[in-house]
Amino acid sequence: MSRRGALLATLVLTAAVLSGCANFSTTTVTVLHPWSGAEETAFKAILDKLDDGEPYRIVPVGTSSYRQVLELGLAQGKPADIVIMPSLGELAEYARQGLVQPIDSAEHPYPWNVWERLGSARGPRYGVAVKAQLKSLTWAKRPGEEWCMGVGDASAPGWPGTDWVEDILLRDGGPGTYRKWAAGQVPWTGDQVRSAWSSWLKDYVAKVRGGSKAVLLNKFADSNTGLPLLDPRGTCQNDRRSSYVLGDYRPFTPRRFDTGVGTVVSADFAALVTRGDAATAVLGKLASRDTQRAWLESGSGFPVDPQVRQDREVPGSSESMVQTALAQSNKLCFDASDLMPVVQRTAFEQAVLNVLEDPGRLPDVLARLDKTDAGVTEARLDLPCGNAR
Amino acid sequence: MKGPLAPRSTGRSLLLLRNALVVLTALTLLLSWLAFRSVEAETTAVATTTAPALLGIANARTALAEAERSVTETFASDRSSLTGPGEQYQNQIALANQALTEVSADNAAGERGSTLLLSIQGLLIDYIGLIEQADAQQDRAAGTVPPLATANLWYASGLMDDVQSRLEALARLQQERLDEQIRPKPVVDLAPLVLAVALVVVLVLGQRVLRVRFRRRVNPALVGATALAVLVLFTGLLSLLARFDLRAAAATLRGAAADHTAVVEDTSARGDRLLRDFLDHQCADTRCGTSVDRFRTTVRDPGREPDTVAAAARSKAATSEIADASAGGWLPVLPIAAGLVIGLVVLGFHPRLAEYRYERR
Repeated sequence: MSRRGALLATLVLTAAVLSGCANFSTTTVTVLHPWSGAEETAFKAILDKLDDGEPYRIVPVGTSSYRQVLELGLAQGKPADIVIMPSLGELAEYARQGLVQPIDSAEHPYPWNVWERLGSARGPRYGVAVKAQLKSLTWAKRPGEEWCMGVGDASAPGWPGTDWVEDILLRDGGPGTYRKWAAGQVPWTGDQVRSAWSSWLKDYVAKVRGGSKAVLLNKFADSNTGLPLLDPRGTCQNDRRSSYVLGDYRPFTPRRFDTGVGTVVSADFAALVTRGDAATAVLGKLASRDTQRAWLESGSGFPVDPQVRQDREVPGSSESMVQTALAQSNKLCFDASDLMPVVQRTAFEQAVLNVLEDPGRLPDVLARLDKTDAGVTEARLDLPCGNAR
Repeated sequence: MKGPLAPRSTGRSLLLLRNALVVLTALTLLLSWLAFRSVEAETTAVATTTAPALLGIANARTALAEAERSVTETFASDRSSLTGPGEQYQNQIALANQALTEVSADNAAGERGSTLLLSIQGLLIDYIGLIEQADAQQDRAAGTVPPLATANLWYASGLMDDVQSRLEALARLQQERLDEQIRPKPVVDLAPLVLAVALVVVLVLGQRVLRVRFRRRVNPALVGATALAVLVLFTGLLSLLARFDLRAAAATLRGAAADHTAVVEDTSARGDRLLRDFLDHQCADTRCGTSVDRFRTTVRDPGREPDTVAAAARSKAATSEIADASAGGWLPVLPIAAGLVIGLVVLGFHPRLAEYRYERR
């Protein structure tokens, strides 16, 4: 290069640099999820493990107020790409409003496939079950009558009480009644439903130290103090808590709450909010067997697919018992409050709080729940429960 | 003449010296520009995003802690059946919402910050809902707060802890961004200064060479180029000083954020003590349960009255220091001065080079 050329090149380079630099950006996929504590930590570790150098970045956002966050994001025009939620009733509402997209990826086995299709055998699929929990479990620390119980929760106070009523109704009323009740075809004031509430108050709430008022003020998950059976100053011997505590409650033997006719399960479903290759790819990953196995290994969730088992499964262990129960597809019933539209679910939770404030108010509260049902025009989900099809 | 003093060799040396000066000027311009742009961009980013976001978070936290304390006091004082959650609570919630809206616009923590902020806004909706429930469940006829209203206040208090810890996490993200923005960049800042000094030195030496070789006392064009090179050096110094000012302002900003945190902790401790006394009163005739028992053991005595005035004054000082940290409007001067240096160097050497070209023929 001549000197003049070199000089020119220096000046051109200077001008080019002065004129600015190029911008590079990476696609991000925001995943809104309801987990906190150990579940959230496990989820982040799973995302790291699944990172295979993909050309996008996954941003997990954990909040118990996922519904508010999703709607705020939609209102601001920058919604999360994927939302994970435990409520199929809520998912059905989003599907009706066109806020979530139909999904075409590999199906899970029965009854999960029907649940993911919101009850329709051939209809569009709006959710992918990411992980499941067995709900109908009780744990005992030592012989004793007292129950640990608290319905306090920051975002949805009352929900732990709804689980109690569901378990008792399924146990005493059977899958047929449970299915019809969850679908809004059995009134709250019906004998079996009222009997389930009464049984909860009489056989369990009454055996909590401090009674119904303590249940009202006790928090279900106290992040500062951990699980009640692990409290060294423990005041209770029995706890009803789903399989998510299996790791922490390893010293205790779980017992099935049901009598073999049906088991309440819950799951977290991932739904696609935005259309896009990256979001679709992440959804596929969330539903994959690898992810389900990773959840199983983390101890924070159980696979929906019965084929996914632990490499070194110990026969007779608590994990094995939970997995076996989840594989009995003809006995599974989905958490009824999570099948209800948001209005009914909230009313159910508030009913729990009202009844705990004054158990004598039960007949009036149940009558008001019937009135709430009558005022809701949206179609209710009617999903298979155990052998009641 | 022979050797280095031969006309042909002198001409080549002059050409080399002129080209070296042109290249040195261009490089000085390039690096000075980059240094200037770097400090200007960072000062602007701190002034328009990180600092307002950090102060906005601090204001939101302070307002929410006060809202929480105030609503507890209202319910504990038996006046809630008449006033509802109270005007002070409403005002503080409005202030917090306003601060969070501003943080949303100023957020410097990227996608993580935005999503965290959204989750905080979601929790706040739940918090306000719980307080509304508590208000609706009051027994207005008897002027008492029934168990369910008490429970909702209690749940709301737990939710506020979550909101505060998320706001703290959001502030940490902004703080990390601030640390990146004010990180010292010795190569970026010192390289143009070194080059500008070298340019001035080479210009002075060039002047000397021309005086010795051609017996001219002064080459006016090179004198002008030297003066302009000193101007370029001056702008480099300005950008370095701006960087120091920005670091000092960031320290004040951190101090302001720490003042606000102390206010939040004191206010929250006062709120917790009020809540404990309120729950003790509500549960006088029965048990409140294990969660409340545990909460009682965590309540600490607040220190002296929170100094909100000092926190506000330090926030104001930080904002003012950041605004003053700019290197000024000297950026456009750089290419003009450097261009003129190059022009004057070419002009200053031209007659002497022309002489040698003539002699070579």
